[in-house]
Amino acid sequence: MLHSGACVLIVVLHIALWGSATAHSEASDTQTHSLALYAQSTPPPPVYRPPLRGAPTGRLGGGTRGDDTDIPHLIALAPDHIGLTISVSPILYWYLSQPSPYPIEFSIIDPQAIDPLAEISLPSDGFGIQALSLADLQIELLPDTRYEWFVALIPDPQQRSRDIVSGGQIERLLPSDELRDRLAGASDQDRLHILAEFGIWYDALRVISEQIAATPDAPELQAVRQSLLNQVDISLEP
Amino acid sequence: MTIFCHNPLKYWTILFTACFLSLVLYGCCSALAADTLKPEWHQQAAVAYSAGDWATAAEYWELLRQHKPAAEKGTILVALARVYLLAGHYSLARQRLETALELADQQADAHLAARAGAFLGNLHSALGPPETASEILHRSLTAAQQLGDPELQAQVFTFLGHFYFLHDEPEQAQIKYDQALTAARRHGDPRLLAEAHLNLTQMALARNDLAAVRRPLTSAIEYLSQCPAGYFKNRSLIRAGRAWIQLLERADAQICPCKVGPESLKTAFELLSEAARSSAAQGDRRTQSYALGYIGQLYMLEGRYAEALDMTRLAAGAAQQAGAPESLYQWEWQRGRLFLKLKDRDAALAAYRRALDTLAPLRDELQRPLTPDAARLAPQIQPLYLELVDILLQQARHYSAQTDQARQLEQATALRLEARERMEDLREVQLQAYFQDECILVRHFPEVPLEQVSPAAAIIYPIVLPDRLEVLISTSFGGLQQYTTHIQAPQIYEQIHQLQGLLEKRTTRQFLRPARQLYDWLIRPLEAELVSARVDTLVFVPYGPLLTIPLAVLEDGHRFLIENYALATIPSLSLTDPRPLARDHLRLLALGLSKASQGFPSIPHVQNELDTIRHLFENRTLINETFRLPVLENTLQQEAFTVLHIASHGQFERDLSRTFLLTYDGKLSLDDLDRCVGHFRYREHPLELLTLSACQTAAGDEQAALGLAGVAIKAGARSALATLWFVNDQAAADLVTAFYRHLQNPNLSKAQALQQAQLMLLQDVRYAHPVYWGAFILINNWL
Repeated sequence: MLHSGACVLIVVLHIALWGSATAHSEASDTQTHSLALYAQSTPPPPVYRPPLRGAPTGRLGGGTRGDDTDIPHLIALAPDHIGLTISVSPILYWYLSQPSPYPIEFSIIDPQAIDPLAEISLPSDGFGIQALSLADLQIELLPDTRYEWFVALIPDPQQRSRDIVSGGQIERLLPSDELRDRLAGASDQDRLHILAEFGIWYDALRVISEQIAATPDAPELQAVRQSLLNQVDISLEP
Repeated sequence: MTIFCHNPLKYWTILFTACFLSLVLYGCCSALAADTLKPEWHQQAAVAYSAGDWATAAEYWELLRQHKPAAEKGTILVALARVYLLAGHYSLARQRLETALELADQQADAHLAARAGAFLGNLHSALGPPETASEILHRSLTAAQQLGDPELQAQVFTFLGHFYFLHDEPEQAQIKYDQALTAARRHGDPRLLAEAHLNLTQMALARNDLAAVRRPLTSAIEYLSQCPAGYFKNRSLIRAGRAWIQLLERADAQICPCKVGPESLKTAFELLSEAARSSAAQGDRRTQSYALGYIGQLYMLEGRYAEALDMTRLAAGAAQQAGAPESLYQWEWQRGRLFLKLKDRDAALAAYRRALDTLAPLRDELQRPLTPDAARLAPQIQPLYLELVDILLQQARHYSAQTDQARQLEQATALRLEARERMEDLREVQLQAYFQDECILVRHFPEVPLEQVSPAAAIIYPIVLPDRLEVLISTSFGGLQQYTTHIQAPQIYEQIHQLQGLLEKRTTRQFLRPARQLYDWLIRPLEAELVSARVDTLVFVPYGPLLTIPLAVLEDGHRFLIENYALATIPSLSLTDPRPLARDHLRLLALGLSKASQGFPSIPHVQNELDTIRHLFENRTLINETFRLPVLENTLQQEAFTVLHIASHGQFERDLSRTFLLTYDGKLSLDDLDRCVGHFRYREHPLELLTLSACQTAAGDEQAALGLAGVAIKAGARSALATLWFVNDQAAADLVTAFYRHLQNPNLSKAQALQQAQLMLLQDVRYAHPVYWGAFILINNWL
């Protein structure tokens, strides 16, 4: 009598366990299934965590200029603190609301030198989000050094105080072991999130921008980039 | 007697008749006398005019004017005007011309009207306003063309040529002079032709087109040989001689296809000698002095200094006899230069001092030239001062090198003090010239000893001479000291130019190179002295291009000058009211324009700036729509403000009439400012501070920088805070409000309040670049 009761109990337990396991796997199947669906429609926005360093004063310009509608709105896509990169020759981005009627100049300076690292003219017909790769200028950033970079519209070369300037600060960080490990073998999507999480602004922006360049008609990617910009208070509307 | 007593009526009738008759007789006699005298007067006047004796010629012509019937007065009036113009009596000339014009009107004499108009236009060319001169001259031209009178046309074209030349429009001037020549050809009078050719010669010289000088010059000389002897011929011979001299001087300095050689020297010599002889024969000492003096210059060019000196001495003598200081000073100056060539510094100093003393009463006249000839002389006054200062400082250096002789050291100090005085005079001259107004300097402040005014201030006079930089520094501790750096003027100007360009460039730090170089030249030699004198404020009295550099940004390799010292700029010590700021009476009137207006863009931060200021002071604010001239005038009359803050676009130009500040619906010119604010001068609490925010006051332009200092003086403001270039940013608002906040601290001078505000920006990572804080300068009273 006791023996058969125990057997029944064991059988019931097994059934229950098996049942719940099935239910669980079914549930997780459904969950995985719905996650997969989600991944195909809207990627989760990256969360940018600014590095804990220094006072907020990194970005120059981009402010309003009153009612002068023929002057383009220029803003460097940089945070309002020292933005980081782990790349030796990162890419810098800025936004120009319309083609510039004036010559455009890009420059980058290091904290000690009198002369700029580079000072070049840019074509004035571009507008929208523009990029410049420091690799093209053969510039390699030294680690732990704060650089300042600028884009200037020059209405009057004889009176540079009239320039319309925007710029940001950039510092190259040597990646920590944790960061290196996380990045190793990560997908593009993940790279974006990881970089943002570690506060590596310029590289995060680069990942998403390159994705956008590869698939131009992807409004969801644009939205991701905009959300990144919003997190550092950059609005592309004047 | 008996008639009187017994028959008064008869007596009075006889007396009356007698008086009447004698009056009539007298009238007839004098009329007769006049009639017989008139031709004599005419002759005398003509002789006097030929001899350059303006006073006598004028006397006779005045007599003739009174006695001539109306129909003939016109010519006399014009002749009088002409002679008064030559003598520099501008207001008398104007009166005669206006009378002539009235007469012409009454008599419907178009010819007279055109002639009088021509001279009046010429007068206005010198006195201004230019629009009036141009209008009158063009009207005369039209009349002359209608009358078909080539002589008159030539005259008017010539005056128009002078007008355009004096107002910096050489192409127009050339056209007019060409037209004058054409008219002169039609008329055929060698005098007109000679004059026209001489004007063309001078145009070519002014353009530095040396190849084009020879032909008109040779033609002029040919026509002159056909002219009768007299003032006109002599004067023109001298002009021709001078033209040769100028050609020779410049040919020396450059290769030119003008084939100038010993022949040319000889020609010049002959022309001038003829002029000298002829004018001596006529008794015209003044013209003779010019002829002799230029012969002296010719000898100087040839290197024959002793002979040049003799000639120049004769010239000075003739000028003295003629009572012609405008000639005398030039020859004293020339003697000074010659003594320098002969290495006799003491004699040179004496000559230069005499030149300046002679010049002093004439300064005003020389600022208002009627002809390009005279105009060329006017700007030379400033180099005269500088040349004197150059020698004074050389001598001072020479004496102080002999340190064992106490007397020499005393002399050195005396020379330095004189050099400083001359620089202060020079500043007065410059301001008078810029504002065309000697009244600007009516307020002279007694030179208060530095210990009383501001013991912790050093007054620094940096003087750029052709071959070196001299810096005079005066401290209450160390007295007046001299520091010399041997660097050529062009190098200094080059660094200044670079600094100006690079400072405004937000994107690089390249400004540091010139900033450091200028520090090394200007400040480093003074460092030890500044430290030992425990100085905390540097007050600069800059001259020339130094006026336009923001001294705050000079850097010693580690720190900017502003980090070590508070700074101010003053036009001169004697023009700066030394009373300190009365802190307890600060009432501020803030005027601002944040919206776009009259083609100028909006300045958004102005709103913010005025809002912040509102909370700091007892004040009133007129912004945008309320910032209009009538409202401003009204407000200024209602209350006694001590600080006037103007945050609006502005333009400070070389040409005073184009300087303005923008109001909501118009422009505030300097005259408007003067009028509005002028009555502050006589109030118990003068306008302490004029702040000009949001406008570019003096970027790189020395005249404009001078104008800024002058504006403050003209507006009766004891000091001014201004920006050298346009700082369009929140930074400007931040700095200005910080300045006002610190101003309320009675322990800080204005200069120190500004220093604190500038340091605040310097320490802010966003605004550390001097393009933000370096633009601000404090002018005049710094206390």
